[in-house]
Amino acid sequence: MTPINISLLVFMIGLYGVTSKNNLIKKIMGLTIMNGSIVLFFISIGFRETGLAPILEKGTTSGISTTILVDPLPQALMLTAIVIGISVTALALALVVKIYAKYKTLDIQQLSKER
Amino acid sequence: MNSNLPLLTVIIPFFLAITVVSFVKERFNRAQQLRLIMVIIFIVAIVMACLLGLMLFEILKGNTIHSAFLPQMVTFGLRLQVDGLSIVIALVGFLLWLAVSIYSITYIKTDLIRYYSLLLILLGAIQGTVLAKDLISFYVFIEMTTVATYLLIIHKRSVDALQAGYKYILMTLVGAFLIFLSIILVYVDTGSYEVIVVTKSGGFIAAVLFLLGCFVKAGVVPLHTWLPDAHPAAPSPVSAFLSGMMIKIGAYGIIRFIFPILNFDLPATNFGEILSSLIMSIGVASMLIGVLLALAQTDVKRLLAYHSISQMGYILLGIGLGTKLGLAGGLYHLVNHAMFKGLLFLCMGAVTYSTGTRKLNNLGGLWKRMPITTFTCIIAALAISGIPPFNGFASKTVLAEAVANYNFMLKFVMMVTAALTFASFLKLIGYTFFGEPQKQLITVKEVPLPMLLPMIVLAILCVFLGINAQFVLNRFIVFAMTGLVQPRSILKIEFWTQGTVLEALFIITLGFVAYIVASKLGLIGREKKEFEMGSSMVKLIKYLSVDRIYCNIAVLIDKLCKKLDSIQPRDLNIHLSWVILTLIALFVVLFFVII
Amino acid sequence: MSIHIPILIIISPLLAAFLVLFTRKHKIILATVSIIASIVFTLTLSSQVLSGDKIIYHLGGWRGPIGISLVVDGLSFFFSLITLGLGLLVIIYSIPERRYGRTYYFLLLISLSSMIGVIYTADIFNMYVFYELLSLAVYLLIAYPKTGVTLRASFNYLIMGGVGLSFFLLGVGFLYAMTGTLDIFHIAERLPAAFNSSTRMVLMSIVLIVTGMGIKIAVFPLHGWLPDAHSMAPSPVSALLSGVTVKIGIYCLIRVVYTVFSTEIFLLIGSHNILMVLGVVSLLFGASMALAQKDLKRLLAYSTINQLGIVLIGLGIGTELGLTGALFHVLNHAIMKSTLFFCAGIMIAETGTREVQGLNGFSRQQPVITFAFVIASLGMIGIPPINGFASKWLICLAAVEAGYTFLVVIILTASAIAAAYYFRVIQVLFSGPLKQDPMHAHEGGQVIHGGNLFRSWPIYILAAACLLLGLIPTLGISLVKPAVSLLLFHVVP
Repeated sequence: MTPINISLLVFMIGLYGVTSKNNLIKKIMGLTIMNGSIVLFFISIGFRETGLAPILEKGTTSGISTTILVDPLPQALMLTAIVIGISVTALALALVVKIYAKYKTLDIQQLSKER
Repeated sequence: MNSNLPLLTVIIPFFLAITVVSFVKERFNRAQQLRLIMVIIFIVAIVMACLLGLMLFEILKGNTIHSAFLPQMVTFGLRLQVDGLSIVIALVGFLLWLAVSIYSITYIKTDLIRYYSLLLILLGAIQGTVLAKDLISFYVFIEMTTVATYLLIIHKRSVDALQAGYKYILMTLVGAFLIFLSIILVYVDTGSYEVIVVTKSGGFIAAVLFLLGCFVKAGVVPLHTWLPDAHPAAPSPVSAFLSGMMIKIGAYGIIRFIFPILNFDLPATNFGEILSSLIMSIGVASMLIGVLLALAQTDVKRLLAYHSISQMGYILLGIGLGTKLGLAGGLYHLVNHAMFKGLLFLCMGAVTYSTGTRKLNNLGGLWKRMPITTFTCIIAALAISGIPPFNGFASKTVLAEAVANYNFMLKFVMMVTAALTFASFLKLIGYTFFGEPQKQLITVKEVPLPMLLPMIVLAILCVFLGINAQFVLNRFIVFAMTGLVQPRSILKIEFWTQGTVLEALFIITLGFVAYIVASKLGLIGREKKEFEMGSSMVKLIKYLSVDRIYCNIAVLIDKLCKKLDSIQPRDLNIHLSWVILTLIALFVVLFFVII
Repeated sequence: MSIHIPILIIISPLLAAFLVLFTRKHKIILATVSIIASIVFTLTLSSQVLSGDKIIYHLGGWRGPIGISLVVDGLSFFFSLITLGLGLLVIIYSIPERRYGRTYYFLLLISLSSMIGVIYTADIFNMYVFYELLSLAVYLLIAYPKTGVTLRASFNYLIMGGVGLSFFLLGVGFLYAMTGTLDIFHIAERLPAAFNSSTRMVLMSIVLIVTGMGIKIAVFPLHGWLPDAHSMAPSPVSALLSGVTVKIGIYCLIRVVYTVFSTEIFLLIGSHNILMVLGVVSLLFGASMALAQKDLKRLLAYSTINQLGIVLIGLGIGTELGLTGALFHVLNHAIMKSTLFFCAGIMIAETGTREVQGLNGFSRQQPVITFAFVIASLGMIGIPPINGFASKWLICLAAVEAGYTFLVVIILTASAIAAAYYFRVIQVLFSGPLKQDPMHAHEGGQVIHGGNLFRSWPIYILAAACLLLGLIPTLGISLVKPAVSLLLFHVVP
């Protein structure tokens, strides 16, 4: 069970949540889980066993081969992805608040019956 | 030779249409609008006459004029070519257009700007269609005529006009799409848009598709059902142009692009024969079915519309023979039909204009009130029935000559059709102009001069084209055929022999007999009621008008779509599960099927 | 200065977006000026791009695979021109509507800026970031009227779009895992090697990205969000969504499929067939659904699915002619569909109903708008000489040349159905009682008042563009040509 496989599994769980839950909030949670799984996926791509943190101090640059460093790029990317994920979640929640105020329900089945 | 004349011929009407839209303002009153429009018609008449005359002059010298706009754009450039055939049809179209537009000055009461700009666009598009050199230009212009005609048909904006227009546009667009497909097949086969050539198996399909598209345009059985609806719904001058020119475009397409391959046959295929027998059988079917249905009609314009179908049958029969004589007859009849059918529609338009009704049972005894209309209408009716000395007689004689060489039965069918045509016009003329005048028709007046003038001119042309048949045939028709039939030669037809005159007499007699028998049996009458009693006849007629089939297809498609709409889920979860299913399906396909 | 132009094109609307928030009076001027500035910047690049150069701008001076670079080549130039041009018209069209406040323009500018970002960026992760930004702005624009239906439409779009972009990001992750770079062109260089060693990963990423973008393009089984979102949004937003935003999905698909996966791999795994199948299915589905609609804007929304099917078929055929036709159809569809949505906006505002049946007599009130509507819908059906015909013709030609004659039959069937539904609308527009006195109707509402000027001019311009591109299709094709040769041969003519 490599981290990549685990992250894909989590992705599936998130997808399941988005697809089959009727509650709007649970759908958003599903999206968040998917987002988290992707973060995990990227991080595990960059992961190297016994790798060092990719922080180079002055003077030590020459001694360390880059192959033993953890890939820093996915981590940087994921910071962005997390921020985006949060803003999407925030927007979704805001919409849910408005929808709830209008229809007094969070159930997608009932909402789709409303005209 | 290269020249810009054809290009101008096509572009000037469009340009003037824009002029109409931009200079004739809605806020002007009717008289002001009319004055401007008359000026524009005058300009069109002068300019187009000059252009066509110059081109005619050039062609009479034996040249062919080419013209091109943006020729470097291989796919979308406009290439025009003028030869005998194009110039003759263009002249006929222009003449009829002029008659119709002068007639419309008083006939059309509303939306003059829209009407005349569309009429001008229609003129440009018609000229473009007949002057087109290659298939794609032909297609472009044919679609333009379709749309412009649609907008003219719905000019009255009444419910039945809109419905008829809807049927018209859908059927003709489907026909046009068939032409589209065939043109693409031709291009892929031959690498150019010039001609339809039968080389491989693809050529066969392309030719048949093109033919079908032209059949829809020409409004022949069994693709005719838009025609009897569109004609009565359109304003009468538009019907005149529609029947006189628009449906001829289909026949023109067949002459221009299909006729050359009828005789040019590959060894070991009888493909040309198949095509020509297809055209001929369609022609015969339209002749008979059209005239039978016309007999039963009680709406004057609908009656004329069915006669258009029947007369298109004659034209197609002539073309389908594939012989020189047949083509001459077809072309001659095409020109003549434009004249007398245009005239008939204008006459009936005059009747409708004066009386306000199109129903036979509301009409009667108009000859005293409208003598000129009656007179011209009788000329046209005699012409369409093929009675000497009018033009219908001349072209039908040529056709009969051509057919007699092929099969004697066909000649008999032609005569029966002519007799039935005569019978139905006995009914039309009798009920409209003679008999007891209805009370409400006492105050009817003859129509004003702008409407009479085109009618008189067309009537004179009908007589002229009939009396000088030999001259017309050799000067115009053979001239028009030069590009298609080699070598050029003079056709000798004896128009005034004992045989032809006897045939005409036979037609008249048979027509009278048919009329009397049918009215005794109650098959033809003023009102629908009488006619509904002959139940087997009704069934036959319902069976013959295949309209219901198309309607059912359309309704079925509509219902299926509605059904699709109602089963389309609104639930987000289902859509999301479709997403997952798609993902899985793509995985499965890529992983197991392709790799 | 001149080397910074690509970033300026993105920055200018972005900056204006935030400035708009602080001003009350000048929001429209600010928005318009910023978009015009972007257009001018783009046009300064035109001679360079059309002659075949590729303009690469390294953000912050960081080169190569590490830094993010912006690339303006034939394809991105073409798409950015569509985006900016229509964006400007959408802003102008929105002017008379008083309800649209500062946030509306803010969101509009953000979405336009991020669209340009998606188009120009050469970094595939950055593409994702811009796409999310775009989507956020669009979700909000759809929900802008804050009525129940728009909120629900927006939420549905958010969920489906979120899932789609997650797929996209996961696909990007696979690409990164294989190649170790995020720059599109570097991935393209390294992918053939990766393809031989780990075929499955490549397939995985292509499936994920195609599905993700499929949701954004709304091909048939993935279209769930589109009818509601496009029909419920305010009309200018609908025009933006249908005309431009969907095209961004097409752009990403083209970039990924033709540049990242390069045509060879793409053809090797035969996935052009997938695009073609998706195209055919959504073509037929969109057409038949549109026939059943009674709501005008919903009809137009389904018609979008129909037309995008044609584009996908063109992309799936993948020959030079097919790609030319597909890209040209993208341009044409953008123009025609925004014309139709703009007209629909006016129709709904004037008649007060969204039902097709309620529009009767509209041609009496607004003859010119009706004319524009007729022009654009004729183009949609594919009747010459309107622009839709030219691109449809090219695609059909490409289909027959590539041996898929049945595709032409399908396209023509769908066109016939399209004729059925568009002429149903046109028929209703022209219906209505005959007025007796031609002078009479003028008291009613014929006079175009000041606000309507802004609404009608974009329509006139677009309708004129429809006619122009239809009469002289070379104008459009010459714009498309550099993009096509870039995609297929990686060289410039």
